[in-house]
Amino acid sequence: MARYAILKLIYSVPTLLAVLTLVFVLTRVIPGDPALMILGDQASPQAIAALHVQLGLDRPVWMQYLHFLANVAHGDFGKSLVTGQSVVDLAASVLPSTLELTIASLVVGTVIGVPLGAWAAIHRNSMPDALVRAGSLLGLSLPAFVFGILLLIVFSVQLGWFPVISPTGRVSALENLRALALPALTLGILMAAYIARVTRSSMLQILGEDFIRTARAKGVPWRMVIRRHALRNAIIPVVTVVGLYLGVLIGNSVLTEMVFNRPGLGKLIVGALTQRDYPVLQGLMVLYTLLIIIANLLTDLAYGIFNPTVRLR
Amino acid sequence: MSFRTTVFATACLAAAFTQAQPATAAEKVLRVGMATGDIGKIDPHLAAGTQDKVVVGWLFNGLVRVKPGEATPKFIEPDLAESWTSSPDGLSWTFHLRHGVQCHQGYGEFTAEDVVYSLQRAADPNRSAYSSDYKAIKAITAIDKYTVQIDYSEHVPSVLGFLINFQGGNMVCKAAAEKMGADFTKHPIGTGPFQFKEYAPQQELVLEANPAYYEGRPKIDRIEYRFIPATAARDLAFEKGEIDIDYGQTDKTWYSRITKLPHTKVVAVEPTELYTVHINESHPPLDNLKVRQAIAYAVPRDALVKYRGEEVTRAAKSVVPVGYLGETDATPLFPYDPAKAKALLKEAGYPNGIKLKVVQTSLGTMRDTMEVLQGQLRKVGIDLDLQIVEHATFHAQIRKDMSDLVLYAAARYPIADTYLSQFYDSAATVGTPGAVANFSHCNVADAEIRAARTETDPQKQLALWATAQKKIIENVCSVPVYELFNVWAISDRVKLGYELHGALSQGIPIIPATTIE
Repeated sequence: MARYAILKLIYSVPTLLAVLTLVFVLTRVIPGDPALMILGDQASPQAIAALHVQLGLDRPVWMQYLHFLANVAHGDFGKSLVTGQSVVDLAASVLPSTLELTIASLVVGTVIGVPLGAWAAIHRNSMPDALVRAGSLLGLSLPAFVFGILLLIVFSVQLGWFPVISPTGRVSALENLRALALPALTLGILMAAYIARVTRSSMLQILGEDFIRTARAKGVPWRMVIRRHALRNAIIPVVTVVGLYLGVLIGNSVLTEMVFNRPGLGKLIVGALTQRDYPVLQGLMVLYTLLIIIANLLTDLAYGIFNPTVRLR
Repeated sequence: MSFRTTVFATACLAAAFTQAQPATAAEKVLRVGMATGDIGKIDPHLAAGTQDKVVVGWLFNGLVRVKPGEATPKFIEPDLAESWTSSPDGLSWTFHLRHGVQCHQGYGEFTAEDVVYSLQRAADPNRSAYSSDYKAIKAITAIDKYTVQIDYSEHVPSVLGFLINFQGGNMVCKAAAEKMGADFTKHPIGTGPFQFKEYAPQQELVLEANPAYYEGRPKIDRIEYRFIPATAARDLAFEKGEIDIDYGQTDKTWYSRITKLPHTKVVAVEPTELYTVHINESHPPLDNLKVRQAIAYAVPRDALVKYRGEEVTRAAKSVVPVGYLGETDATPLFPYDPAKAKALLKEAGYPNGIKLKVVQTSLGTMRDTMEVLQGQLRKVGIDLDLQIVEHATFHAQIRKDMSDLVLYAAARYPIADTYLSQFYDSAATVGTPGAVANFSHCNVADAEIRAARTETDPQKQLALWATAQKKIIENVCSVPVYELFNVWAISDRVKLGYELHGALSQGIPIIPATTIE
């Protein structure tokens, strides 16, 4: 297993290099001058020129690219053009918030999605099935900024159960959980909608298998058949989907972070984009790529745990 | 993993990121919600965005200041300097500093050395975005600990105007700035009523009362400056009382919704941003005066003000925003007259109308202003081909002369010179070495603008500025549309302790007397 993981990581090096190059080119191709963004439209041409020199933007692009690669090899992603903070520090300071939100919504999504999907499959073509299918369609099509705001209006402003904006600084675990609840629910519902659909179709397929019929014929209680034989097997493709979706989820957290004003990678990257903050953009893209590679790797490994027949040599 | 374990694991995870909170009972905390994802640079000589300037206003002083609550140079009063004199030729100024002013966080007494350092820094293009405002300074000398002499090589439009607590006029503490270098932008040290406490990226900036402030310790103990980019979230947080001051939107709908909230006061404060359509004379057929006049006659200024909201907007009166020193409405802008616009186009040889290419930012208020104008101009046969681009792209492209019309919104230091020099002096034309923001290639008032800059007789200076405005309006270098106020919602719990009409920092000044119940 360890060898497999290491091999996988080595395979990801070319992917990373391609991403690095693409990111570098893309950030240079989009128009806009970071110096103008930083100093504002009143800045004198001398001040802008001076900042170009300070930021190294006066050098030829290929030289900037080589510098960029060399620095990345040393684990140095440079400093934010806007705030002067190191990109690594900046990302590290918000990464926990993003992971916290992602994992929490993954949990919410699984806890809601898997039982609903299974329930729908068992009651195929009846009321529960229709309800779950309609619900999941709604969940998939409601954007986070609509659903999030609805949740805020009802649970924060009207009922006062949760804060509108996440508290900052040192807060108690309980308060942190309270602040996490609505964002995790917003993102979790989206996830649940997705998981429910996958679980349902996977479950339907399993329920039609011969071994299910055999188990029933042997007189195994129906509940046991579902739990032991059907769900166990149906969950395998769900794991893959959830794993692949993790990357998407990290990306999708942007809107949720905006609505609930949580710090996070998504908010950071949007800010960097509007400010033309090249180093931050580059650093975050690489981080995203890494996160997705790791998520895929974990999925592969988890697959082995859930499905012994494909356990890797 | 069973469900129970999963839930438990989540709880543990959440707990891992947190610690217990210390109780802070009687503290007076002011929570301000700002429309930004993060702070930029809180170095007064570099701060460009509103989110940064608001904070700079709480942290720093100038040698002189505009009275808190006002936003025009009419209200200049002593700040770090108690008194000043000038030589008969007006080129040498001596300032006498207040004794015993302390820099934040134990960086010592603020003295003449700090003034010399600050102004040299403000005049250095490597360390300041506002260096061009100080290029006429020949020498800055510390005569003694509390006396500074500033010598100018030529007359400037307003000596005191550039020494107020705004942009390059803000005084930094030398010891701190030298020690921190580039980190100063994230850990600013000044002499103002509040001092830096801590900063959490993307979350908030915390300031605390400066106990040694020369006007006395502020009644507010702490300002929590929260970064809340989503308007809906910010407004809901304000409605629920999680923030006390909410950065508003210059928009009729926002205004009427927020004013309905209980215990809320909505203030529209100066300086305004003047929205101007600059007409690029270097692009035919806009080199034809009649075509430019047709555009001017086709803009229904009053209807646009109604559309945006009369509480948060006012009609433009000149090419310089209302209230700027030297602004005059002596030459009226072109009235709305679509029939005349059509006739002028016909006279100019375009009976079937014209088509213009316009690069337009996707940024909210600017975009919908232009879209409304597009509809209005179409009525007289002027068809705008709007190319909507992202804001940074817009800034880059309009500076490459790529747009026939440029809608630009700007607030500047409130004297006529800043606006005229940056937008209408041919030396500032885009694409030239001295480029600033002359998008129209206007050059009709160069003589007056430049003469006024060094004119020492205030009456003559005003007359020159008036002539410049007349020439620019008559030549239709641009069509000024309307001015938008900064809008803030303030909870009734906040007692400002002064009368608020405006603030150059674009924020709400928090003075020692300001308090919260």
